[in-house]
Amino acid sequence: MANRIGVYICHCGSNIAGKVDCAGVARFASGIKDVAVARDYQFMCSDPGQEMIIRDIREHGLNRVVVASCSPRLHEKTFQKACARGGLNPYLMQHCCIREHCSWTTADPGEATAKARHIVEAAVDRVGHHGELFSREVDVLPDVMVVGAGIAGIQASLDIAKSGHQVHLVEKSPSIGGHMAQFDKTFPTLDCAACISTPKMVAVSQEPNIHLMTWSEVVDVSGFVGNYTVTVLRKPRYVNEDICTGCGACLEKCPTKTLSEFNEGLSERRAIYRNSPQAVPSTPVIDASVCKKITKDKCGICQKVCPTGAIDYTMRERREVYHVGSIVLATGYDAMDPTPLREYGFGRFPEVYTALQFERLNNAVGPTGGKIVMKNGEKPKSVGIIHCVGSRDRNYHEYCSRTCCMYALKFDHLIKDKVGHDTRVYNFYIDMRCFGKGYEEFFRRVQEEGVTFIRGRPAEVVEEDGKLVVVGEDTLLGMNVRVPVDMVILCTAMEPGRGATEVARVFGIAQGQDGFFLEEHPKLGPVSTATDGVFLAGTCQGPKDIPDAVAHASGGAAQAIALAARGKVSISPTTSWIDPDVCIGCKVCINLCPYSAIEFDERRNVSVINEAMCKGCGSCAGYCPSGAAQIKHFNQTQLFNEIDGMLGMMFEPPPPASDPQAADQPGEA
Amino acid sequence: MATTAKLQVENNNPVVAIQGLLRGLLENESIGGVLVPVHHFGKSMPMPTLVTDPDQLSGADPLAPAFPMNSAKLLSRLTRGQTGERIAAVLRPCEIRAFVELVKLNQGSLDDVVIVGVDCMGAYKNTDYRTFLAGRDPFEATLAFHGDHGGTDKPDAGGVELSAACKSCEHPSPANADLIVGLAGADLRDALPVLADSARGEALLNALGLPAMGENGRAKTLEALVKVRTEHRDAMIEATRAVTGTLTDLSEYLSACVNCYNCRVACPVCYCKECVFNTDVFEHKPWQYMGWAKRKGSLKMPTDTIFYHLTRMAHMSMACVGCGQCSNACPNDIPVMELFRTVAARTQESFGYVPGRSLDEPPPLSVFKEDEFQETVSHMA
Repeated sequence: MANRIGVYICHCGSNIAGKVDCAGVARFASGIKDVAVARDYQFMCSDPGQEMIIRDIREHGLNRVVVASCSPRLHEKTFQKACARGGLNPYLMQHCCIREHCSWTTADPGEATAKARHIVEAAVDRVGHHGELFSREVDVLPDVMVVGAGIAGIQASLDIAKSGHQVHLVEKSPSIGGHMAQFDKTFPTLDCAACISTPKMVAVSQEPNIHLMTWSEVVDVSGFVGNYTVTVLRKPRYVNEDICTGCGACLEKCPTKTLSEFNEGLSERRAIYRNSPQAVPSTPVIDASVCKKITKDKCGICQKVCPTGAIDYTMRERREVYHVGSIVLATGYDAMDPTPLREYGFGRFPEVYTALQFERLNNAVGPTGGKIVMKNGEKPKSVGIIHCVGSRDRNYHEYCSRTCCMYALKFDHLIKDKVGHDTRVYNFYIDMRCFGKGYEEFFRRVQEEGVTFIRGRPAEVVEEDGKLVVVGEDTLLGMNVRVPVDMVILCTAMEPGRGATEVARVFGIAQGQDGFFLEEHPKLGPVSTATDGVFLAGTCQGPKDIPDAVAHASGGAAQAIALAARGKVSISPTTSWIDPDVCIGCKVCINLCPYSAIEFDERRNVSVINEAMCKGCGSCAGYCPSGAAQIKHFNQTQLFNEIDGMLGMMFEPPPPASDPQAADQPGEA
Repeated sequence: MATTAKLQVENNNPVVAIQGLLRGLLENESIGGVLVPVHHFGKSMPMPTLVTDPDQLSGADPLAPAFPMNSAKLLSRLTRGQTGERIAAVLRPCEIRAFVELVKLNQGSLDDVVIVGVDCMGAYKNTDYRTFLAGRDPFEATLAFHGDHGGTDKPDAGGVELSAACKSCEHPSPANADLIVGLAGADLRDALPVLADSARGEALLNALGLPAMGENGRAKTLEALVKVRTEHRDAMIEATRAVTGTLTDLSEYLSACVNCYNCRVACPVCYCKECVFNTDVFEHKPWQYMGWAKRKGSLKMPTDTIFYHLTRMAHMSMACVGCGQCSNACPNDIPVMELFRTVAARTQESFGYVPGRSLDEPPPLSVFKEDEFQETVSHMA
């Protein structure tokens, strides 16, 4: 039986009709084979427009529909649903684009109309070869995995746990809290970071719905949305968490010292350590790379002093497997190492600090007990703060790290507050970006406290007569400046975590050009990723301050809860399919599949698509020479007919220009 | 692995000597059969034959200048999946290279096959081989073809020329073989060197207990052969480029194609079970033909001939080993090999890929490298 196709040409107000003769295209379409009805209408996406399609399906007995309007990215779903309401399988509709691809990009109305006719004929020829497709529903496992227990991971975990779902929270460090645990105060309210984060950290440890795994890393993820299987590597802590009371006796007696990562190298810690007295969990961890008992089988003091016998040097790493419905990634950021910016002297001059080091100087349990002092123990009389170190810099990171202006203002205030109001503080900035709630007000307050702001990125930091001199230009005054200071703080850029590439690989997600994890849509999908069921939370997606990270994390948690609450997920039917009668079993598609969605059936000697994991990207179909692998809804017959329709009224290509060499020959006048 | 053994030639007959070598291999308990070209009915074309009875090796003629088909596809059938027994296969270098490509595509396995390569002096087209025989005993004709010195004597042409593919083949010596019969430069009345080119080959060769043999000028002879053939190849490619550069020229070049698909059947690396050109994708409706004819006023039938060759180039030019069986199979004498080698030279050069060179080199289209073709894609970064 011949198809009965309905064709609908949208004016999109004047967006399309301004260039394309929509009525003319509809008349043309009505003459194409199998077209039963062709209409043009002002707004096809409006209710009357959709009703027109539904009515025609019933009255004209249409079994195929073509809508020519905007990009399918905008309204394909709209018209698919309209067809479904009219009783037609949604995949029997072809949505073609005569706006973005035609009216908006073509200057001449005649050409635009001709192009629209090609596009419509291609869609009509294609839609005749469409088949019915049906979405499948699969169950979603109720548990959720959260990776990373900084403030974003903590927030996401607490939100999910509150909904009644079990959370498996994985943290690679020995304790949770992330970078926020290193801070002293937070801008712009100057709340103590510990005062606001410790209750959340404790809540995590006490929440029955949260299964916390510190000193652990995710090493493998398989499965698909709703059904992920996650392998977690539990690194040996050498201290039994179940027995340890966190008394700290071992921490005092351990004779081996090494630089403290938590204090950003400003002080030493023992081989058995915990990051701070408030650490959650309070169980220490033994650094196996320096512990004398583990490296040389000497010492063993911690075992002797431990009152509960929690120390176990024979502990081995183990792998645990969890089955979860979705995953929230909150793997955070790392601060850039400013050593490559040699001009600022980090590592050469002892009084040049990174921002995180300065946070530790401020912290009551930091290396100086919260006193802002120089290495010689004296208070600085003047401090220079250099903004945008590695940010907004084409040599390092083009992006703005979004937090530096504000924490620099916080430092300004803290220096004035703790060291004394006579301390001179100089900010070297490019622009002050104080866009958050209460930020501009805080900027004004700090200005009123007598802090100096010099616009211009400094050229270098040099040492003269035992003092540091920041050399630069005040671009507002248009003159060079040389500012002698006792201490320099570098506001280093927020970078993707050092392991971000590996994390992206394990979880099958993409990184943007800046290296941060790529969200599904920069505006409308900031927490989801291209991999269904993997969500982002916090600074792993891009630089954020605490309020933004927390809000983002709650968004990621909401997505995970939404999946778990519904308990089912619909899987698009436009996946690949490998015809087992045609597949020759060369296995090339298996390596090409970016989603690991193809398995090899050794018994039948053919490759098989896992439809739940397949995204329908077409890598396999593009290679497969026999066409055994084809994407449903984008199969060869459909595409060839679309191309054929596109070429429908094409003229013969112009003959190739006469031999260009002949034209170049000398003597030809 | 530089073991070289001496295969004594009796009665000026190197063919019998090689038969003896194969008999030795077949008598080795580890090898169940030998795949080798055999004359079955006296004066027939030597066809690839799986021999298990050593006495039936008397018809084997691996030196015959005949090349009825590329045996890589046959060896694929003999080694795909569970093999059971180990076999030896006597192959031309282009057959080995094609087989290596098939193994990369999971269409065969080198695990249970001992490859015996023979320095290749080329072969005639099927029709020319009959002319060349001219009623002679095929073994006599083979001996006459090679003369007394492998690769250096002017071969007895019998009034016909070697196939165009063989004349422009720069791979006369076998790569990826276990054992190599070093025909090039050898005094065919005296002895043939047999070289072990793998650990497996060395073990087999040692088991045969042949005496050792010194250098006999093989390398020099091969070098000279490669030089002549490379020059021939480059001239051939240049000539083909000149007549296939535009769509009009290409249409002219392929105008006699009747869609018999013989070239596809003959191609050793065309490995699909069902070719897309046999599927309903190319089953056009009558009204479609009429529509196409009306667009231009006429429609050449059969349709899709150029499309067919372009598709095959897209699918297979990366793996093309230049064996020339496509031209050999064409009923209308279209120089298919010339076209494929010309296109393949470009595609293979783009990826620095030499098909059949090494099992460790994956087919370029089967892997994704982020830094490839930067000059082409850098504007998208």
